[in-house]
Amino acid sequence: MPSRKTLAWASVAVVGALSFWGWSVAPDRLGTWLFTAGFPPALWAFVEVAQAGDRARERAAILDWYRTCVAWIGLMFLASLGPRLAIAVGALDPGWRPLLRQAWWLAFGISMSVWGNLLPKLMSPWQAEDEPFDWQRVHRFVGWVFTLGGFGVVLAWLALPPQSAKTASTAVVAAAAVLGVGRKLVSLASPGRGSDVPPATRGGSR
Amino acid sequence: MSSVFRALADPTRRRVLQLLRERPLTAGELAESFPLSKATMSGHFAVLREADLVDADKKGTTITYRLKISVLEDALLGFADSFGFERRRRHRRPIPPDGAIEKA
Repeated sequence: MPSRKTLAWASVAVVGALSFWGWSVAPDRLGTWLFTAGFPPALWAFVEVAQAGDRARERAAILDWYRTCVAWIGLMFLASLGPRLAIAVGALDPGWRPLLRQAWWLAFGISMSVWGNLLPKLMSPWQAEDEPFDWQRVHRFVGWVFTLGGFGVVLAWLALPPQSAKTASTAVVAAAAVLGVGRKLVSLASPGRGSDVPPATRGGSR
Repeated sequence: MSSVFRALADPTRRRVLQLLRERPLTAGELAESFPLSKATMSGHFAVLREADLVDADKKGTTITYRLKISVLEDALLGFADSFGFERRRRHRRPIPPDGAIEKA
């Protein structure tokens, strides 16, 4: 099994190559290809820089987790764009399109649920030291929202006709994102709510 | 997963998790909330740590526990609190008095 770092590098390289291919097939959509090529490495770079801290054990575990996420995002890009480009250049029969789209959304829904389920278990080093508990509450809330949202996406693509399923799952993903960001903004707007400072440092000795 | 079920099967450990849901607590603070010896509480903390349901941060002589629970484990905790899935204890039958068996 290759290391998570290798997987993340492979993912960035594959998505970059895919974007270059896409640009050669549809040069008028340069913005799309630049975004596709740039998103996984930008996310990875942000995480690597943001995770500076002296809690080495947590840092290593969390970086591995995020590298897995980068690799997974690359795989989702590959699964989404690869067939489309193959159809565009005539390498794949267009009749496969609906089945591939359904499979992609099902994989997306499952990964959304898995990610949501594990999110409350994560505690970044800077979160642990700066604002340990409110982050965890936000993660717990967002975890529930994404887990249930992922189930919703899977159910929609199993039970509804494709057009309705696409509308419903796009609405679910958008609602989950809005709720997650909204919850964090509420948390930022009310500092000191709850107990962001660990009890051991709150004064008084035990 | 069996370690998670084992951890959630005990009402004291579930109560510890519910307390940690409010905020991180030190081992001393948690122990004060229960009429149990420190050794017993340490055993409960060990089971929770083994199941990866709590994170222990040791600074000096103080250990601070923080909840570390996935959505699925959170749902199991809620389910166990609502319906209870304590392990069935084996109750010994009372020993019949002398001669009771012969009379029967």
